Amino acid sequence: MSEFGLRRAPSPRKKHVTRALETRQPFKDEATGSSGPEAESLKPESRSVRTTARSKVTDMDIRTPLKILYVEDNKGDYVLVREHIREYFGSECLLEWAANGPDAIEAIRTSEYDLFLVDYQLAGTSGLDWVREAVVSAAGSPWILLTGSIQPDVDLQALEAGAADYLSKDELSASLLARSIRYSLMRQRNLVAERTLNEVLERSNAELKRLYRTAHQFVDNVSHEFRTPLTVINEFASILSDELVGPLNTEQKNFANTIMNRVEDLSVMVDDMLDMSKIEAGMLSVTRRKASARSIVDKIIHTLDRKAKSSGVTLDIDIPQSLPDVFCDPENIGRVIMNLVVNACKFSSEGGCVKLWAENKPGSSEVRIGVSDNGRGISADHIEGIFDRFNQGDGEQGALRQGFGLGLNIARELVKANFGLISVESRPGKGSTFAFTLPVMEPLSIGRKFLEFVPQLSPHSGLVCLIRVLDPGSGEATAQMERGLYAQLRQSDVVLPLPSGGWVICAALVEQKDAEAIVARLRAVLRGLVSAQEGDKSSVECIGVAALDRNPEDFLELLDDEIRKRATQDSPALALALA
Amino acid sequence: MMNDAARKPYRVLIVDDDRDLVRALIVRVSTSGFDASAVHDGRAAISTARATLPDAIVLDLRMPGMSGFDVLGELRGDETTARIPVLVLSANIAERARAMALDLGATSYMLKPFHANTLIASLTAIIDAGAQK
Repeated sequence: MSEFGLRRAPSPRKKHVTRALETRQPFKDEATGSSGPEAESLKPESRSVRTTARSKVTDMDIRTPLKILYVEDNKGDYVLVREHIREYFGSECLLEWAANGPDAIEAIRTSEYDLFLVDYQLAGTSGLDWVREAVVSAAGSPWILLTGSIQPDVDLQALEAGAADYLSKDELSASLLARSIRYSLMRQRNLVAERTLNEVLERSNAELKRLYRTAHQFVDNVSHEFRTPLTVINEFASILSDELVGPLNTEQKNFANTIMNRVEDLSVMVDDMLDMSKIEAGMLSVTRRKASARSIVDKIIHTLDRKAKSSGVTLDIDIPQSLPDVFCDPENIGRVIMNLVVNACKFSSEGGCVKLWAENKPGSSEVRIGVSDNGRGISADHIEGIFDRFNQGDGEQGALRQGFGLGLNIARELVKANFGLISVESRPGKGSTFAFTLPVMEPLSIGRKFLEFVPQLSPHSGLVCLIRVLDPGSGEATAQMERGLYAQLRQSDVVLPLPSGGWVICAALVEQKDAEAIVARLRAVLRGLVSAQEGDKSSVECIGVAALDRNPEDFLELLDDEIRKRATQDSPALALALA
Repeated sequence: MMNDAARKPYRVLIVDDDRDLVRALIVRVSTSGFDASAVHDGRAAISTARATLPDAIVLDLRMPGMSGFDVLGELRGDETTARIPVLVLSANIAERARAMALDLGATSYMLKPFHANTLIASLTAIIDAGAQK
């Protein structure tokens, strides 16, 4: 790559060069005298004399002599340029001359040139016209436009057409021409190098993407392949333990339960592995929706109970029915709770107590869910970095832990993906409390959380649009609308129906440039859904689209304003709900 | 689990290509009071569903030949089987698989490994909901 450009391999067609040149009178040794030397230099064997060397004159690592084609219908101009070139480059440059377009095209077709000099006014036609077709498309070497006098706009036209430079013959000197040639060659070399580098980068990038997809697919498959046999083992152990096929004695029953417990451990490890791979890939599936802490716990309560029982620990669950609904992905949060409870059981001595609790302090827009134990606790040294990967502690504590040491790290990531924060408090000898927050199901506070977490969740910008659906009809229509909107957005985005029922906030993580297209798609979806329900296309409207630029605060204000403005105008009930 | 009107147990069709799991499921579902039968591929699932009109179907997604998604599509496209509640039981953790199954008309989606009590509760719930319609 340090050599000038990327040269084509010498092609067989070069042997026609001499013949082609012989048919063009203007080429006949105007450059070096009345006979011979130039024609001589064009013979195939003399071409091989051109070697790669550091030219004293051009001060570049390029192949010399340079070969330049000058397309010029005025012989006087040609002679002048030839003298300049000879003065500056001496034998390191070989100038050929074509007096018209067709000759030039033929020369380009049959020979290789390092650079072209092109007269702007070529036999009444603009040099730019044919240059665009011939030089640019066929040769790939840089070209410099020469004009009789400075003409307005020609410089711009020339550069637009791809000229490396533009020179006026009136002001031409040997050094100016030489400098222009050197710069053009240098620039071309850089361009070629850049292009090659880009190609290499693009290829590596594509390969990395492919490997990444393969690895991801592999983890998905491993997870699937593990789950199926685990299900079978677990189910047969459970059939035995439940005495569905005959009575067991106490020891047999304990054995069956042990099988189930260890299957559960293995399942958690498979889940951890899968989650970790998704978190690393930024492909964590998060479908946040309205949920209650109680219902999340109810779904996993059997497993939690069994875990506690097998550790000889009492599990005390205190989740008041009166808690407000939260906004989260219930599967994600179920995994977090499971991780925390399993950890707490492991750290508790037999006969200990693990408490799973949830609270909503008055005036707070968050629900806090926690797991407390009265186990040995964690020393200050160990608390630091406890949510980091593969931190399993050491010594006795480390030995007690099982699995990959991913649990707390995954818990933190899952909580973050659900707009929450996780924390730990512990006193050695007294026990530990791990607790995390979730936003309550209230559009504005979720909007705020969304914006707060945008920088952590994604390098994308945010987008919010308020969608107003007049007369949204049945609850089914609204649910369908929500599903339709979700389908258009990434799963990490937010779709929130406002309390009035006729309003939806979409908060999405999108590239600024894609915002408009996404909004258009959302509109189309809404129109389709509503017209299917109501048969009236005018009953849906997408307004108040705002994209988050750099400042979440500005965006938030805009969101607040929009909602309040629309609310007062259109729905006093909504205004009340937001007040 | 008795059907009050006929005093006959509800009939559940289990569709899964994993024969070990099918054996376990038959024990579990039968001992919970259902009348359980099983087939091991999608084609058989559709013909059996049409012929016997079970009260519920437990359906695996990844099966050789005809997938569970295809089975769902065909069941829902046929008037005679369109209303049979289907509980999808899959090892596919991807949210898009769940969404796709629900879009195709699955009544419920449960991940493997599952907890036996949860499976039976879910099965009872979808049959009850179907009976009320």
